[in-house]
Formats: sequence, C-alpha cells, structure tokens
Amino acid sequence: MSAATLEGSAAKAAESVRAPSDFWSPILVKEVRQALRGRVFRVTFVMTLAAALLAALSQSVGPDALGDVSQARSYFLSLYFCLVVALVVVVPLGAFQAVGNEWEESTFDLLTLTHLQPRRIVLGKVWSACVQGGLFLSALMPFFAITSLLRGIDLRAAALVLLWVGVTSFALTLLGVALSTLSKVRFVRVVLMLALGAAMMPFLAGLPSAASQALRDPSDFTSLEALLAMGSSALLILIAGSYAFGIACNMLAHPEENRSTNLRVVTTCGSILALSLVSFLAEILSSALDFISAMTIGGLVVVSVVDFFFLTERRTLGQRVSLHVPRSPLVALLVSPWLPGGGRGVLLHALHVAGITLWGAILMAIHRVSPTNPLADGFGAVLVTALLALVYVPLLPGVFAWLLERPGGRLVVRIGAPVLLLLSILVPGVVGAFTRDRDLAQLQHLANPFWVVERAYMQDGVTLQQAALFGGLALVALLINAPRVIAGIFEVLRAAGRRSARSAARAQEGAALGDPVQ
Amino acid sequence: MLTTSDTSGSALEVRNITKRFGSFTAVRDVNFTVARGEVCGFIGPNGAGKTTTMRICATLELPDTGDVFIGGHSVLEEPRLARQQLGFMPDSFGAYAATTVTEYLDFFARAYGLKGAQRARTIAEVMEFTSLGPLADKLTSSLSKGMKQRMCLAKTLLHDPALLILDEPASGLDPRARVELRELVRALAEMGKAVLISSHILTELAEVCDSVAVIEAGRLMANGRVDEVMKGIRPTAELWMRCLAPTDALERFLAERHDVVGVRREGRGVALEFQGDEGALAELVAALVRAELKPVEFAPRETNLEDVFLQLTKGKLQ
Repeated sequence: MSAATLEGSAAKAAESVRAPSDFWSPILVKEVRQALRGRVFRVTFVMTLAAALLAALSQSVGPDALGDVSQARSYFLSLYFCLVVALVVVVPLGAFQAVGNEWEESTFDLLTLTHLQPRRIVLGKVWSACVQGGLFLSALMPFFAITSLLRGIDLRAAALVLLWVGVTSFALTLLGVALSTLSKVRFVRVVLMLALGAAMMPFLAGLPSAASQALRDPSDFTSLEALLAMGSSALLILIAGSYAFGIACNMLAHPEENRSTNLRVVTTCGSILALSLVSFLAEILSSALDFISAMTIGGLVVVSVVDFFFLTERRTLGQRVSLHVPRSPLVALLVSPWLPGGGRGVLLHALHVAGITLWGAILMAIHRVSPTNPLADGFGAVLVTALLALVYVPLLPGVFAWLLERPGGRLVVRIGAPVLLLLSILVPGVVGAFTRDRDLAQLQHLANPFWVVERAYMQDGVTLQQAALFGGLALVALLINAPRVIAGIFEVLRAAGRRSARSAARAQEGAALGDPVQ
Repeated sequence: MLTTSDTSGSALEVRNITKRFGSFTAVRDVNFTVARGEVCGFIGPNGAGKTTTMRICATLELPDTGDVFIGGHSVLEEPRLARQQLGFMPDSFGAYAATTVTEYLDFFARAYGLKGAQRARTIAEVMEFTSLGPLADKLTSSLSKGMKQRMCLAKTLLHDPALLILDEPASGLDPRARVELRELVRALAEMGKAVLISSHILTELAEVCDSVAVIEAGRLMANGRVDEVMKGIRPTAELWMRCLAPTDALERFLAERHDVVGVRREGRGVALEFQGDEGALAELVAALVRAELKPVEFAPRETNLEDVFLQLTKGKLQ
C-alpha cells in the first residue's frame, strides 16, 4: 500500500470520526468538554462513585449480607439517594451555572452573532446537562444491576423510580436554565440559585421516600389511579417545562425580537391539553361534576396568572416583530392575540377565559349539570371565577397602561397589582375588626375573590344578581382596556399593510431587474 | 477562506441612526459608509457614542431611527443575513474557561455552521493567519491579553466576513502586539475586507486607516478619507523654513506673497501657513532663491489624526 493511499485512508478515518459530531449542538460539544475538564464535575463524579462503593461495602459486610429482602431494598435506596443527589442537585445547578458563565465570561455577545438561535443555545445547555446526568447514571448502573439480582427488588418498580429521577432532573435542569437567564446581576443570581435550591429540596426528600414506598409495594404504583396520576404529572411537567424553555429562549433573545408569542402559544396549547386530560379523566372518575368544576376553576386561575404577564407587556410590537406580521390582514387579525403587546394580551386573556369556561360548561352539560338552575350547580362557581378573571386581571394594567410604557413601569405594575389585590382583601378585614363586623373580619366580603369563588363552589353556586354584578365589573374592566385593544389591533393591521406594500415593492424591483422574486 | 473578495461597493452603510437610552441620546443622526478594502478609523472621546454605534452596526443594539446596511442587508429587517457578513470584536470579551485555543475556535466554527473538513481547514487557516499555531493546545485562561485579542480576531474571521468591526482592539496591548495587530488589519484590508476600527491610540490608527469618522457627543463631526478630512479642517499647509539671509528679510518677503496667509518666527527660522498646491510650493522655493534669501531648510509639517481629533472635538461629555 502506497504512502498516499495510507494518508487517504487516515484522512477518511478522521473524517468518519468527525462527521457525526457535525450534527451535535456546538453548545453541547463545548459544555461537555468544559464540564469534563471542570473541577465541579470531576469532584462530584468521584464522590458519587465513592459513596456508591461505600454503600456496597457496608451492605455486603452485615450478618445477612445481601440475603435479606429489606437489606437489598436498603442497598438500592442508598444507591438511589446517591443518584438523586447527583441528578437532582448537581446536574441542575451545573446547568444554572453554565448559563451564568456566559454572562460572567462576557461571551454572550459573541454567541449572539453566530448562527446559534436562543432555542439552540438553551437546548445545548439542557442536553449537556443530560449527558452529565447520563454519565452519573452509567457510573452507578453496575451497582444498580447488582441490586436487581438480589431478592426483594421489583424490576418494574426499580425502572419506574429511576425514570422518576430522570424526569425530575430534566425538569429541574430546565428550571435552572430558565432561572439563570432571568438576571445578569450577581446578587439576583444568588437569590435565583437559592430559589432553585428550594425547588430541589422537596424532590431530594420526596424521591427516596417515594422510591422506598414503590419498592415495598410495587402494586400501588401500577394501579390505574397511580398511572393516571403519573400521566397527569407528566403533562404538568411538559407544560411547566415548555414555559421554562420558552422563558429561557425569550430572555436570551434580543429585546426587540418576539419574546411573547411562544409563551402565548404554550399557554393556549397547555390549556387545551389540560382540558383534554380533564375531559378524559372525567369519564373515569365517579364524582365527575365536582372534578370538572374544580379543574375548570383551577385552569382559569392558572391562565389568569400567566395572562397577567401578557397584559402587562408594553403596547407596541417592536421594530423587528412588526416586520414579521403576516401580510394578509385577515390572518394578521386572527393571530393578533398571540402577538406581543399588552392590548393584544387583553384579547388573548378574554379568549382564554371564554374558551376554558365554554369547555367546562360543555363538559358539565355532558355530565348532567342541572338544566333548570345551572348557576346553582358547579357551573355557578366556574362562571363567577371567569367573571372575576375578567375583572382582576385586566383592570390594573388597563388603568395604569401609561405606566407600562415607562422604564421600570412594568415591574411596578407587576408587583403592584398583587399587592393591591392583597390590600383589597385585607383592608375590609381590618375595617371589620374595628367595626366588629364578623363577616368582614373573617375576610368574607365581595372584594375577596377567593372567598367569592370558594362560597360559590362549596355552597350554593351564585345568584343572578351576583353574576350580574361581576359581569358589569368585567365589562367595565374590558372597556377601560378597549383603547389599547383597538390600538393593538390597528397596529397589527398597519404592520400587515406595510409588509404587504414592501413585498409588492420588492416584487416590482425584481421584475424591473428581470429577476424572479420568490 | 480569507480570500480576496470583491472590492466594489460599500460593505457598511450607516444611515441617519439615532439611539436613545431613556432621555439620554447616545447617537444622533449618524451617517457614514465604509467601502470594501477600506479601513475606517472610528474616533472620539470616551462616551462619544462609538461603542453604541458599533454595537448597532453589529446588530446587538437597534437604532431608534435610521438603519444600518451590511452588504446591503438591513440590521433591522435582516439581522441574520447581516450577521453572516460581519465579524465583531467587542472591546471586552471573554474566553471560555477550561477550553484550549483550538477548542475555542472549533466551538465558534461549529456555531457558524462550518462542518467537517471545511471546519478543520478554516481553523488551521485562521490560526496560521493570526500566528496562533504554537498556542493551539494552550488553555485560553493562560493566554496574555495580546494573545486573547489574536484569538478573538481569529474567531471573528472564521466565517470569512466581508466587514470587520473592531472595538478598541489595541487597548491594553504592548507595542509589539500593536504593531502585529496593525499588520493584521492592513492584511485584511488588502484581502478586500472592510474594517471599522476604533481606538484611542490615534497614531496607531493614522498608520492603518484609509478614512476616519470622528464622533463627539453622539454626533458625527467629520467623515471621509484621512487626507480629505485633514484638508477640510486645515485648508492650508504648515511649513517651516530657514534661510541664510536674515530672518527679518525672509519674514518681509513671505508677508508680501498672496499664497502665504500667516507667518511667525519660530526658532532660527519661520513657520508659515501656505495656501496652494505642490506646484505653487515649488514656485515659492524658486522665488526665495531668486530673491537671494538662500533657503537651507524647508520642512512641511504634517497634520496627523491627533490634530484632527483635537481640532474637531471639544472633549464634550454627554
């Protein structure tokens, strides 16, 4: 074989090794390289291995070494705890730090100018955390494999609890990445890291405890109810993960880019998914009516909290977003609730509330809500929640719309609105305490939306007068927002018109140059 | 990679950009262009709006009004296409910890979408161009400031941009590193790349720039080819001469000429402001000889960028 042939073969071999890595995320490649060389990963990896080894040794020297059922479980659980610490604490914290390093090392601007979009940056960070988690898991897998050979370990239960820790780690990693993108200020980042730590704590304690239960009585976790609960949890994690991912992408995007539509779409799709699950579960459960009304009320509350952020966005689309509004005025009009801007947020909120309420009403009708007096059944509580959602969410952003356009104004409104809500609940209570009005003192008044909903749900629904009162207030809140809703719609239509005109001008230019325009 | 590109047309066109941060206007109605193969020095005092303008050109900030076109692509409408044409080196940048020089460049090459053999070839070329070869396996954390600048420049060249925006690339460099940087910039311009470079070290810029844009308090004070700008701020040439004849006689002779607009005694000779081209200057020397003033020393005084900068800017802070 000639030297040239040898050289050619070597080049081909090098290329075949390199080629697959071309399809990997550059962030993944870099992060894994950095992590493997970093002190944190090396130390925690060695410590995890050492802990697993120690657990194995301590279990194997007892009088009933590995022969007893409880001994085997205890061995599995000690290994499981090592894994939980690595996957639930080390990996998400590493992901949090990986995003923070971009700010601290002043590399983010350089990254922004490459072909990497925020979505790929976030995914890269998350996948690299997954790779690190996979390395921890693979290091402990031989130990887990030994436990599977022992008596008392149900393989399905073992697989299930390992799946739990994997899913939890993934969700916390997404949360860590999302939290890390929220601020570049060191002090705030410390607070955010503490918040992440606080989010980890229940899992750190709960996962080993749940695993212990699952190993002791595996049948508990394979029942229909348990599977449904796990399915519902998976759906919740999916929705929460989508939010975390969306928030992280938005925070990494340029302030003039569209940082709202993805979260609006997640909210709408998440609502549809959650309602579909409720519809499915309602078919199975015996007390369907209560379940539907509770879930619909819960859905309305969650959506209201999320929508509040959309309502408190600044008014305009922004320069870059307006360049991507659909050309067709009709399509632009139809998608306008999902486009950024506080006025369009009001529209989206109204759509969400109407949609969820209608879905709940249809489900209740299917499950035989009283046709003679629908307000007295669960639907009364749903209706009152919907009306309150239309009062409380748009009211303050509508009144303080001018403040939202000022620097820092959004933060003031976003913090001020919950504070004012709290005051509207507590002040009548204080007044009641002085005037010895028992109802007021116990916060049982109409300005307390939680009490209103609770009473409607727990007791006797809602009267027509109350419905009319809250309906009137909702109308007032929506009317206050009418100017910015109308301005928001016209802005979208104008942007569509401008885009259409620009396309026509380009087509004309292209035709003049004899160049076919796409 | 790093091949000579088409040098026709402008690589960067800044059109009437204004940028406000709250009530503070950082950049007001700034206009200038940089052609392919041209090195444009962007000079101005601290806080003049240089970095903001450069960040707008690099698509990292958006102008409130106006637009910037990079290779014909608007930073407002087509930021992604504009980014493909530009390489930006910010004044302060980081280098990933626990990463070697090759890995750093490999990461950015991947991030710019370079694949397989092309990526390896490109990295090798930029490393050779920036003389980073011997440092290939060094950790970025162990590099000196000059070496890091070089590495960042190499990163900036990976996707072969037509326009390079270099914000204070010479700051903190030792004299040798500055000379090397100057040579690199000149070499890049010769390849047909447009370079917008800001620096406080005006003597450095003077030797490398074809044109300048002078900015103060967010306003563009002057823009054009270096000699044109100099001529614009000082239409006369300053000369110094000494004759064997008495200086009084020389002063009287010069004061009577219409192309000499100012004469003053300086040392053993006189300094004069001369208005005219090189032909007129030759005629002046001939006239001195004819008048038997016996000229023995004759030196034109060159206006440099520092003079331009000092004359155009008042050190105003915004």
